[in-house]
Amino acid sequence: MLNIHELESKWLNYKIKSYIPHAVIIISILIIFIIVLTILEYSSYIDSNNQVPEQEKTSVIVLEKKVEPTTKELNTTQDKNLSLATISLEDIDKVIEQMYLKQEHLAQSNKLKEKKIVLSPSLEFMNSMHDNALPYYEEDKKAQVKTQKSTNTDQANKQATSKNEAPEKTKIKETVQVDSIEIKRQNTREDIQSVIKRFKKSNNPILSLFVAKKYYEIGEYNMSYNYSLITNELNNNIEASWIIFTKSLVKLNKKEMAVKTLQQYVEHSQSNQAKLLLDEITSGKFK
Amino acid sequence: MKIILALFIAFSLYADIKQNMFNLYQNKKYVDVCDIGFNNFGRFKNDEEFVSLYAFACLNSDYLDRLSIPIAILKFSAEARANSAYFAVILMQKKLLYHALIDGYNLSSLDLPSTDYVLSKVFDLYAKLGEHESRAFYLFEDDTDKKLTYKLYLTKDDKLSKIVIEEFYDTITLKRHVYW
Repeated sequence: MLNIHELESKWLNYKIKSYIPHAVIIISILIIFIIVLTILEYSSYIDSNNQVPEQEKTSVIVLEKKVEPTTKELNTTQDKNLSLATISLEDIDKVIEQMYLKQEHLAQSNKLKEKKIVLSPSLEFMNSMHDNALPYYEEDKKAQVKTQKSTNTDQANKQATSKNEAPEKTKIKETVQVDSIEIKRQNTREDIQSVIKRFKKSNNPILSLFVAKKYYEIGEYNMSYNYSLITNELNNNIEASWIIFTKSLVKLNKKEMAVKTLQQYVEHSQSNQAKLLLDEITSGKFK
Repeated sequence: MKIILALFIAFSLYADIKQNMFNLYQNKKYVDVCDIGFNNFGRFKNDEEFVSLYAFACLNSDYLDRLSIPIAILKFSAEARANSAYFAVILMQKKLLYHALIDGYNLSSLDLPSTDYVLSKVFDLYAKLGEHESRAFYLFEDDTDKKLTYKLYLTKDDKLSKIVIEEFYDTITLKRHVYW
């Protein structure tokens, strides 16, 4: 007689043994899949950590410490590890996002701090006042006319009183006056030459500006143009130098160039004096 | 007829003072303009052009305390309000710097607007120092032009201490400002 129970148990063992390779293959595939997934996630996390600047490194180290135990747990239990790994990676992503947001916010606030609000004065009211008032150089002319008038009247008085004197004396007086004018001119030229010598030694833009102004006053606009140009090259923030430069250009019949340079300077500096001069040049008041 | 004549004379005088001030301002005689404005302020306090001109002249001649009334008066046009804010910042910075230099008040936590005026530049440079032991004088380098330097120190009279700011360009003194 056949022992049925024994046969059944043998059959069961056989069946179980036949399923073992399938089960082993499935489990090994699962393990490989989990390992690959964790390696990929970990590498992407390391890459993101490397992009974080040095300032944030301290906080990243703390995060790494938090991550390490989760990876150890992954090695011990498979099913639990999978869920824990996914949760921890999601958390890491969130934390990294938050860190980036904080970083951007900090950068923006730093930029705002660096870019201070700069208040600038508004001198538009000067334009309306300028239209009503006489320009200052005309006032100088008036003063010159007045002095000339006064000297003429003085001369006339003197002539009236000294009618009895010989005409030779008056001639001598005139020559003396002419000489005095010449002496003044020579003095300014000597001054200019001495300042030029000092400028050549020190390359100081203040000296070259002085020279440019003096040449402009004498009426040597070529030289004043040259020295104001030198001044601008040395320091392009001196308003007076740009004004002398453009005035000289106008005097040298280069009005368009003067207007262009002055417009660029006004855009750059918002200088009110330059704006006034620009208005004068464009309106034809300054010739 | 007499009334018309009186009005005409008054108007011409009014225009004369303003034009005179403007011409002086153009000739950079800021102290004169500030003084004329100060003496005639009561008559012209409703004219914002006059008040603005007076305030800018006082600003350029370092009489910053005279800005307090223009700051309060300038408010009816956008331009006047902008200028009022500009003067207010400068005046506040002067007061804070004075307090900091004499009493050791810490300015580093303040984040105020700045201006192109020399006192504002020095104020910003001083505030950057943070907490520090008081010094006999401070030397600051301009942010835009390295040859331009500012020397900040206090002068002490019997009763009053004064802030002095000296502007140097390549060791040459450009201007000396005194505030108190």
